[in-house]
Amino acid sequence: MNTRTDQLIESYFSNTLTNAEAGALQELLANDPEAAREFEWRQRLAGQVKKMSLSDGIQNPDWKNNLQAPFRPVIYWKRALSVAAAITLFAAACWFLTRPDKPAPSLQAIADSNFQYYPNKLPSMSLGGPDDRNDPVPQSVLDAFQLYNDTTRFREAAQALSAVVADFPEKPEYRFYQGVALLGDHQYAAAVVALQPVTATDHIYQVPAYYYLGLAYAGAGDRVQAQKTLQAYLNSKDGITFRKQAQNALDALR
Amino acid sequence: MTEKRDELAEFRRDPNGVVSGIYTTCRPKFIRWGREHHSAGAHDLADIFQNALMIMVLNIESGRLVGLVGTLCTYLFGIGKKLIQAFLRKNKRISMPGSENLPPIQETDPGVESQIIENQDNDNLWAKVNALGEPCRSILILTYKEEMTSQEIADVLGYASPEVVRQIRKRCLDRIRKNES
Repeated sequence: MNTRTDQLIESYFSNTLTNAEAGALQELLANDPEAAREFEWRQRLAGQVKKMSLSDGIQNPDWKNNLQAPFRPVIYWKRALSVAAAITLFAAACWFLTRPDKPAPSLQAIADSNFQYYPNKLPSMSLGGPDDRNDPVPQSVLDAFQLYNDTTRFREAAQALSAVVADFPEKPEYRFYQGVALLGDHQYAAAVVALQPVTATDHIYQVPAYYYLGLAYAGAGDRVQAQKTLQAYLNSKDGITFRKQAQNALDALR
Repeated sequence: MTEKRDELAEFRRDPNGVVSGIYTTCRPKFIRWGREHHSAGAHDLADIFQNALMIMVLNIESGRLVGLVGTLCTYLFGIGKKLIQAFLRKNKRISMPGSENLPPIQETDPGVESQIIENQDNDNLWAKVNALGEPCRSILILTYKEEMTSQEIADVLGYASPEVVRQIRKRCLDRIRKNES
């Protein structure tokens, strides 16, 4: 497709076509099947893109959560109902928390309930990353991360990432994602093995690795190491994203 | 200059506090300004402001926004202005063959099978598009949903020129096509 066709299609979608250009585009679509196919495909694409939201592109869950627009004013009786419901819930929660036979949560339950998925933030996985020609990402790595991006396939992702780590032992970032996938699949001991070396580096994944390693230790039944590692995460000035979860886990471990 | 950089640092430290401040002080100003200077309604302006905020966060996250010339609010106004421009152009679209909205298909209509197949193709296409990472997602959303020009997209996302946006978009489209085939 030539530049002129591309320009006309771009102007169509940005609503900046002049009348003359609109005529030119109509003529082109009538006489050039390739351009007509491309135009039809872009229209289909536009229809699908309209279902997407910019907010889904934000990877930091804290930032994303904080971008919720303020609520619109609610009608008074709805608010009264909300307050009544909140009081009922609070009373139920108090009863639940203070009832005499409350079992202590298991270490695995602490690990699982405080686990939060770490989105794939590797720049090389998107077009904003390094130049593909100079630093190509192997297909096996792309495939493994495609599995990782699907939070229902941690087991397969962990397996694929194990192979990637074996191929690229010098890259702690791959090891980090392998550890997260193993933790997501409840393979705590294996997650400890994967994540431990990442905490020993000064890589940007070092700090989040403390959080996941802490949970992995908890899941593997090592309460003392879990406490130490989660505390290391909380002590780090960069330990921000999972602060709440790390603190919850630490409180539960005590 | 120190004050301006502090706003970004503060956002990283306390996103909730900074965003609350933006909603309390900057958003009403933006909506008031938008109503006075453009023929857009308050609800549309609130949506536009929300998009501007998301673009700002995407820019911070991607490292494209590392310093501010003015305040965060001024920065949001800059993005919002471009979004308003595109929004106001939306009802000026010149229709082309195939761009009309067709009435919904009934199960008994002839050709309903091909419609079902087409819907399935569209679902597959959506899945491919939705799986794209940044900056593809933002660029495609700003192009096909917000209907912005490449120049406007370059301005709000902080790219050097519209040509850079076109090149990235082309690579994104090629990726979708490659996944489709």
